[in-house]
Amino acid sequence: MTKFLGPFVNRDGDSPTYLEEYKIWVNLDGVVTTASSAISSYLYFYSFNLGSQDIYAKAFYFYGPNAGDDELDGVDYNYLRFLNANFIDVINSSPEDVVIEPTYPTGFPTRNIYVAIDSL
Amino acid sequence: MNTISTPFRNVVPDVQPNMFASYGSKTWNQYDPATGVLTSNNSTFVTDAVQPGMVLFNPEDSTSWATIQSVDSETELTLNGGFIYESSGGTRLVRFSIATAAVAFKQYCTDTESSKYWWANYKVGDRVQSQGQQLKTSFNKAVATIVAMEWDEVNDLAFMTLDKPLQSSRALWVYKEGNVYAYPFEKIQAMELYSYYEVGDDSEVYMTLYDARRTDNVTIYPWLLTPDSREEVQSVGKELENKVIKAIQRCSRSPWPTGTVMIEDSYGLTFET
Repeated sequence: MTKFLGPFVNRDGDSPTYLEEYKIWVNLDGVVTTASSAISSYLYFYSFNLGSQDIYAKAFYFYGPNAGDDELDGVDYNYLRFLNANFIDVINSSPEDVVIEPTYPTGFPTRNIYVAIDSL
Repeated sequence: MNTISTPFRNVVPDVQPNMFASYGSKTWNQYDPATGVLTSNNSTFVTDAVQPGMVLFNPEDSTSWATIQSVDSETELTLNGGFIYESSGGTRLVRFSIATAAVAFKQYCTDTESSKYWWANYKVGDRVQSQGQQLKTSFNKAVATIVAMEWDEVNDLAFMTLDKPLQSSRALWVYKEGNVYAYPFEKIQAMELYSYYEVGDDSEVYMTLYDARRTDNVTIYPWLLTPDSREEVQSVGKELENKVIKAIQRCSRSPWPTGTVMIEDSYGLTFET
């Protein structure tokens, strides 16, 4: 069932004279498995592509909390647990709720997150 | 299969430009809404024989329009109000157009064959929009309605009368009820709203709908293409986001297996590939 998790916000610039912002909502329909490395700054959620044999992924990239920061290593932050908790929120949401905002646990290091579709 | 949609643009062929002299591409420098005085340094109103009674409007938003009360000098006019000079978010819309009262609300066809096409396809009640002069915007915000479709028997040409003035020196679009651009809802694997503002550079806001293989991605541009400030970039983006998210929610909740949901107030918006 179609459910969008978002927005995830990624800022390259955030000052009175410069703003560059991506707000992304991710459709979680069809997600079948995940791949995660404990030390990487990103996380892949794989889905089967509709009507083909391809597999594609929603790739989550975690950056430092401020605009323009570098990617954060995953070694201390457990991105998989963060996203799993949000996926469970989505699964448990009312059928009327189509767009569900992510929740961030206390101490989570960043809300500066970019999401892309990657074909494999 | 459910879809989200925007109205389909039928491009109108062979429209006669309806602007007076060169007043289809002018800008104003000052406008005082209290006195109605408009100053345009690149105009020569007296030399060009601009007259009181002519219709002046902003081709980027001709929702309202003004009548010229007096021609005060080569560069100055007094209007009777109704001239839109900025967007609701505060961006200055510096274009203006002038047409004679006889044609400001009319669009004439230039060719008999095309006139027959107009006659057969465009009806009273259809909506009409123009691209306008396009400095700050993607299209003229005003959406007119055809109030009469007539035939000039002397010249064998069709002409339509509208309820708003539109500039026809650029593309003119007719919208027929029920004709839409549709994007399959099930294709949308992610949505991205991109906002950019930097002092000294052109700002932009747009929304992209991504399909899984990224081969059928589409982008939606708002009416205000180049907002003037960081605040306006965010305000325009929020407005576009709200419209698209609302359509997504309605589409997902639709009980009908082949329902289509129009993005609210979406005349002029298209799914660009």
